[in-house]
Amino acid sequence: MTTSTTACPQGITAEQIAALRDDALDAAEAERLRAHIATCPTCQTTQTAYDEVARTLTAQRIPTPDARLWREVQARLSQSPRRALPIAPRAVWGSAGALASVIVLAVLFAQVFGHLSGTSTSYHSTTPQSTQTASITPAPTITPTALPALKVQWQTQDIASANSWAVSPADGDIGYGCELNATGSAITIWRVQRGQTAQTVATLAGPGADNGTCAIVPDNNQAHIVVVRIFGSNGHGPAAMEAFTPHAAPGTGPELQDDVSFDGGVSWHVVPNGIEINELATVANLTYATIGTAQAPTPLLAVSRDGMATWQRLHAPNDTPHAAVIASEYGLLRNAHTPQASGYGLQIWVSPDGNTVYYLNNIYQVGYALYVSHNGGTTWGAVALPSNTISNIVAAPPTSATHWRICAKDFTDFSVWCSANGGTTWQQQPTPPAAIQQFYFGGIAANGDVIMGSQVQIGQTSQYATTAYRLTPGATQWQSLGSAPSVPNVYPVSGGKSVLWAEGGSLNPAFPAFYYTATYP
Amino acid sequence: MALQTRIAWYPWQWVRVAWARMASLASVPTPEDGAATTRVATFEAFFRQYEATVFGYLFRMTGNEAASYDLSQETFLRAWQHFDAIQRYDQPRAWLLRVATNLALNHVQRQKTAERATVVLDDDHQPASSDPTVRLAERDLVRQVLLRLLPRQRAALVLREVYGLPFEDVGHMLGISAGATRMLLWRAREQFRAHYLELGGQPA
Repeated sequence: MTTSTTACPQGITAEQIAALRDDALDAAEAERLRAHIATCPTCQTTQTAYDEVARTLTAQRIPTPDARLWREVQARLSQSPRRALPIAPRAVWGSAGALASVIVLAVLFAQVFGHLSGTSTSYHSTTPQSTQTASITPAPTITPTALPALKVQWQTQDIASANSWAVSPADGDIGYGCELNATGSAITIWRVQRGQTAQTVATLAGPGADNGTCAIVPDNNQAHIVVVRIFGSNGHGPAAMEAFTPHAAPGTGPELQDDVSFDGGVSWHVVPNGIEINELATVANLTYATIGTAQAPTPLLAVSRDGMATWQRLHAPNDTPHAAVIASEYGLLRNAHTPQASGYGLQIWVSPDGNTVYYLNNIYQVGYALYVSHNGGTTWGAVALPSNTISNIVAAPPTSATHWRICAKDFTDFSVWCSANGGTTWQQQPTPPAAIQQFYFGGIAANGDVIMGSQVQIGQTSQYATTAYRLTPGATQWQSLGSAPSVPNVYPVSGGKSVLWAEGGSLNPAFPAFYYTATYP
Repeated sequence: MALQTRIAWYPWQWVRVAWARMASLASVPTPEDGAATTRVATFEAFFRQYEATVFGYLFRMTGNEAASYDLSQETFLRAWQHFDAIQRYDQPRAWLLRVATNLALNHVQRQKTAERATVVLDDDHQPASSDPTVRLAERDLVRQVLLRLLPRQRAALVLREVYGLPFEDVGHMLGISAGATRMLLWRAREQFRAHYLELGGQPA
């Protein structure tokens, strides 16, 4: 950030330059001021300083609200009188008529919320959701003191400085980062081997704008394949974080291009035709991805057979624009700013042979929907979820020892459901310890354990203490893994083990460094 | 936590319980069933569309995740109460930001002392200059810098620069004249720069 502004020889004040930025001047005055600034280095410095304030503000790291927010709003809707509705309570609450109409409301809400994901008729007409019966196992009662601890040993991890950072989902020993330099002229790409310092592997041409950014999208199945998304200026105003949507035509919006590397980040190729890659999973010469294009700026499920040069759309069910818009907003935020899954967004999981594809969609007004194809995306079926109020899904493709393993969290009662057969049947898992009020999945470890994290606010600060837990298949209770920097992400490494990655920093005083890793188990 | 406390002394608590019991006995759908279903579904869609905006704004204003949850809830409940009108607005987002601004300014006023304490605490993690890993701390630095601004400066700057509200709307929301809005936005930028550099933010 520019450190000083000296006086302009023509007496133009910083306040005037701020007003120009705010469109607070009349047209003639604005025109005069612009002409002056073009020739005045002092005023240009002030203008640049205010641009930097804007850039710094829009780059602020913001937590993503989870399902708790809607759950709590929803719980209070029925207590909260609406105005100007035919069935809303009128006049005084104590009158018999008002009470009767409120009872009607309560009945309606009970029915509505009981069938929240059934509110879209078009959804049901195209995709019968529930054809299988989830098997229900009563969960044992657990007290927190009964939990045997298995303390995970955390080690600090250098990841260099990065606008965006991601561990390869295919190999937890490898991570990638990218950062735009101060002028926006270059993007540095880092590669990190776990336990070592980050190494610069490439430098790419930047967008040329100092308020651009970059985002790393690693391949879900191949550790040596990684995409970097390059963004130019976010523009001014709503194009900032919350409205970070794919562009309308190549080069005209905030996203300039995607580059892909097939050799661990050393050499890079532009992904042609303005294709934007949100998520990808490669098996041999097949790359499954959710992509955006100039013609269809909302992400679509597609497959490429030629190293991402051309794409063929896969028509997954209910691939609606609304769902895609929501997913792209949250998905991009997740990729660019928080390494943890936000709970929203399209996700793809592909089996090692490339035939089985799971596709998670967050459908507008409906909620989560999970689809599966057993023929590489040609035809699709809906996976019956254990409830209509799922807020979190994690999946792990099959290994030599296990079939597809999928777990889901119900946001209404915090019950956890897992399927060991790709979603054909579901088993309710032991309930979380009573002390846990909210928890998130970190992922499924190579040994089949589900890793979770629970965060507790420290006093009135904005700092949080995190405890990690594991749920082993067949276990009767959750096991504490001890304190963690944040909810850990879980990735497989060689030798059938996994590695946990978690972000520390000033949000958790017990883990002041920025990244930590731990071998698991 | 705060929510539970509020519900606990909610005077209509017993009535709610009674309704819920009666609701569970009722099984015949009423003619309004479809209308109410649509209304709640529409409201949920509305919520989904704006939750990140409202929550993000409140986090920027309060610097506190728990407070952002509470105030987001309050904002959306007010939206529900006025939903028939809001649905017809060209810019429901501006309505939401206005409500959120009022709630945040009230909250910040009450929490002044607590937030000062937070800033002091976080200063322990003040980044040094050239260590590249430490530069990541600048993400959190913005939060700390914002908390050092006067609440109205913070609201004006964030509404203008992050949410792109027109200058006039910022003034209307804060109930001040055009001239006062100009000064407020300019001072907010200068204050932001000064505190950012003082807390160790790097020249970009």
